[in-house]
Amino acid sequence: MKNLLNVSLQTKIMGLIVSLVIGIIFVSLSFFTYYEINQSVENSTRIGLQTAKTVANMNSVEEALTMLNQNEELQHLAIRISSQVDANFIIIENRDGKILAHPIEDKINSYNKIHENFKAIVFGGYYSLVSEQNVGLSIVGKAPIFNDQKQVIGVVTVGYLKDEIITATINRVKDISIFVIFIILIGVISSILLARNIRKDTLDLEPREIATLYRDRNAILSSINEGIIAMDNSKRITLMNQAAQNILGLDSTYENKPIYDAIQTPKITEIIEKNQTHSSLEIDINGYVVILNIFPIMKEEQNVGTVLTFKDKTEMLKLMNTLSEVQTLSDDLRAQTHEFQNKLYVISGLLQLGHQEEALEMIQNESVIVQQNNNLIFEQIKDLKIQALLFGKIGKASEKKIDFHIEETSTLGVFPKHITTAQSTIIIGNLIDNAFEAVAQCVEKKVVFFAVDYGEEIVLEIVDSGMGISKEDIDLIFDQGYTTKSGSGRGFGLSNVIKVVKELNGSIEVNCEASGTTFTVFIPK
Amino acid sequence: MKKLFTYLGLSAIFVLGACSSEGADAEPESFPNDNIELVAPATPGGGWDATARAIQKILDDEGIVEENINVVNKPGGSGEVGWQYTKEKDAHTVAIDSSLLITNNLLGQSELSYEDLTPLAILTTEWISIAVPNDSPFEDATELMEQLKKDPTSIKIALAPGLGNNDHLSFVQAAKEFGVDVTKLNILIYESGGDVVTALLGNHVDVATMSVSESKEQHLAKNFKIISVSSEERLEGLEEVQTWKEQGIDMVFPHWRGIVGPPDMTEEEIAYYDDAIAKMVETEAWKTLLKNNDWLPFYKNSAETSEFLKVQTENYDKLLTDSGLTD
Repeated sequence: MKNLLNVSLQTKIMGLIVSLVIGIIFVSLSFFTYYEINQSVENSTRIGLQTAKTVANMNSVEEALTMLNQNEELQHLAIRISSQVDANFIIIENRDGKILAHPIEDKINSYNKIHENFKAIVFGGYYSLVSEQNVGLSIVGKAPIFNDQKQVIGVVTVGYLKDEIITATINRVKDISIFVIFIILIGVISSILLARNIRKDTLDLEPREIATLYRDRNAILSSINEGIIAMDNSKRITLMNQAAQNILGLDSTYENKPIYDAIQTPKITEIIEKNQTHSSLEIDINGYVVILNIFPIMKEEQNVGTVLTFKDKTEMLKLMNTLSEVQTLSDDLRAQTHEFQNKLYVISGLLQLGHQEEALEMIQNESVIVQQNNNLIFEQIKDLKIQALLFGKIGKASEKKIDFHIEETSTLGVFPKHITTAQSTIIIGNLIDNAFEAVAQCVEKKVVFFAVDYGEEIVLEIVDSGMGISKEDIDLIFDQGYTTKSGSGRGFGLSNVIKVVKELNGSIEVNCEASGTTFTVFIPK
Repeated sequence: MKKLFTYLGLSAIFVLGACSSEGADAEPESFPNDNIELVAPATPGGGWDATARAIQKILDDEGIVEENINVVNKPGGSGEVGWQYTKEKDAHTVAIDSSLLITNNLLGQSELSYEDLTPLAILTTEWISIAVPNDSPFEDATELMEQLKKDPTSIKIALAPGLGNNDHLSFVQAAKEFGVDVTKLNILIYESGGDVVTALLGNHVDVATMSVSESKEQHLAKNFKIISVSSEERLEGLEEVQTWKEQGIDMVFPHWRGIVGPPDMTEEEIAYYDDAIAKMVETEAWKTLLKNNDWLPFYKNSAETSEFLKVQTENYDKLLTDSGLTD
């Protein structure tokens, strides 16, 4: 059964229509044939009886019977009349069953059994019956021949062969069959046309292929993190995946509604109206910042729909930040090795010049600083990721000749689970980098990191000895894209920090003074 | 098939017609609401006509039916003309019938059968007699049958007015029961019962079959003798005549008369006639009528009549088709 149904649409439709047509025709033909045969039998019965009556009432028949040796004439008469009424035979017998006229000459003068003539001979009855007595299975009408004294002197039998009735009917049905074949042909042709027409609508795909595509599409759409909204040429939403609903805070009821019900941002509706293609458009939809792509679907110069794909921007940011974080970490570590190399050159120089004392002193000094820092970090900062970050930043600072140190009173346990590595590195990394940049041009380059997690909050503080921030800039620094540096792809630092702090229900404070800037971040545990 | 469609078409027209003409009659008028027509399917003067006029008179005189009753003669085709006429009318028209209603159909002389009409009642019956001349060698029917069995052609049998009537059928049935080859019987057919009596009196025939009412007078006058009657019991006034049963032939053959109505009568209409006829057959006038005509009471109501006709038809059919001949 499965294999049977696993055929092309055309075959399916053709099979269905043709079998339907054939079925209907077969049933109707059967009925027709059945009734036709019945009708023919009825007609033959009627005509046979009428003919028998007519023949029995003919004077010449009566005379021939009453006067003997007139059989010749009777025979002619019987044959003539039977051809006139299309009967297969007319038989005339006398009272005793002696055959006087019969289509088979040899039978004349032989005797028939009286049984079938009983009603006619004894009671003068007219009747029909199905008989096998004479030529073959036939429908016969019988009529008594009366003399002048109203006595029965013989019987006329008019017969129609049943086979011939059926054959005649079947021949009629055969004629109809030609017409039937024509109808079946029409059925076949129309089913082919129908199948073609359907295939045209379905881009030549079979229904099961379409079904597969549909299933796949649903699976794909729901597995994608990007929001996808498709609409038709009248800008009604035809499709909206789960991600789209999540990102825009919509529900599935928006399907089949105009896109303008779901997205009210004028800028987007304008673009959609103009059927323009746009990619990586950063835009605010319904209060959510997203990166948007718009593709109109064109078919033969006609717009048949539009697809919107968009990504939640914060998602994108996390990705970008993680990348940049890794990059800065590796940069910082490279700086550290570079720094050590320089120190090693100095030491080897001193040793070559024979200043062992100074070299020794330098090594000791250096190791103390490193030791101090290391101890501090290892003992008081328990979170491994933050440790790594801070080591990196120490390296970076010493390369940039920035005095970066960690407040000795800092204590930081392992971060609670709900704060991801990305989040913690975004906050600390960005703030430290910003501080480094702030002091880069100054004479005194000092940056202090302090962290404490007593009580309900984690408090992070970064103090720099930079120039501070001007009054007009203080409101801008939190905006995305604000930077004091030139170049593109920058300016996400602070705004990202703020976004992440918001996500963690924390707060951030900025304190500007002439001697520098202090950023304090409070994150509830 | 064709018939069926025509019928359906017609009934549809009737229904539509009824709808449009009657409109919204709250209550159909009770039956009867018009003159009653009583059809005698024969010319005035025969048994059917006499029966019809007697019924009309009694129903009227006794006040059983309030409406006018008119007798209509519709002769022809052994009753067929009258019955066809009745078939096309409504329940206000009823006709006298007899076993011819069945035999006409079985013998192919009529398309009509009792199923095309509504049997309402059977009223009377006559019995059929076999008579022989006074100097006949046959003392009783058995002797006659013995002779027929020996040589069926040797006896001239008289009857009127044609083959296939009850007089004929009862004789054939008796002969068949006895084992006579009935196909060889020598039957002479006369115009009327009177002619048969004349033939018998003139010794032109050896035996005649006719209703008791036709033969009784001559028998009592000792002009010829009745040797058998087709009744269950010996008849009043003919106590010396044996029934067929007594002579070893198990046969009772009534020549009954009754009343039929058109097809598709309602329960209510049938009940009306049942009621009227039941009242009628109880009256003194009816009993007197039977006596005067030598008819015997044979009353059956509509339900009994339907059943009786069914059985009669089966019997007749067997009689007419089964030759009883052994090969």
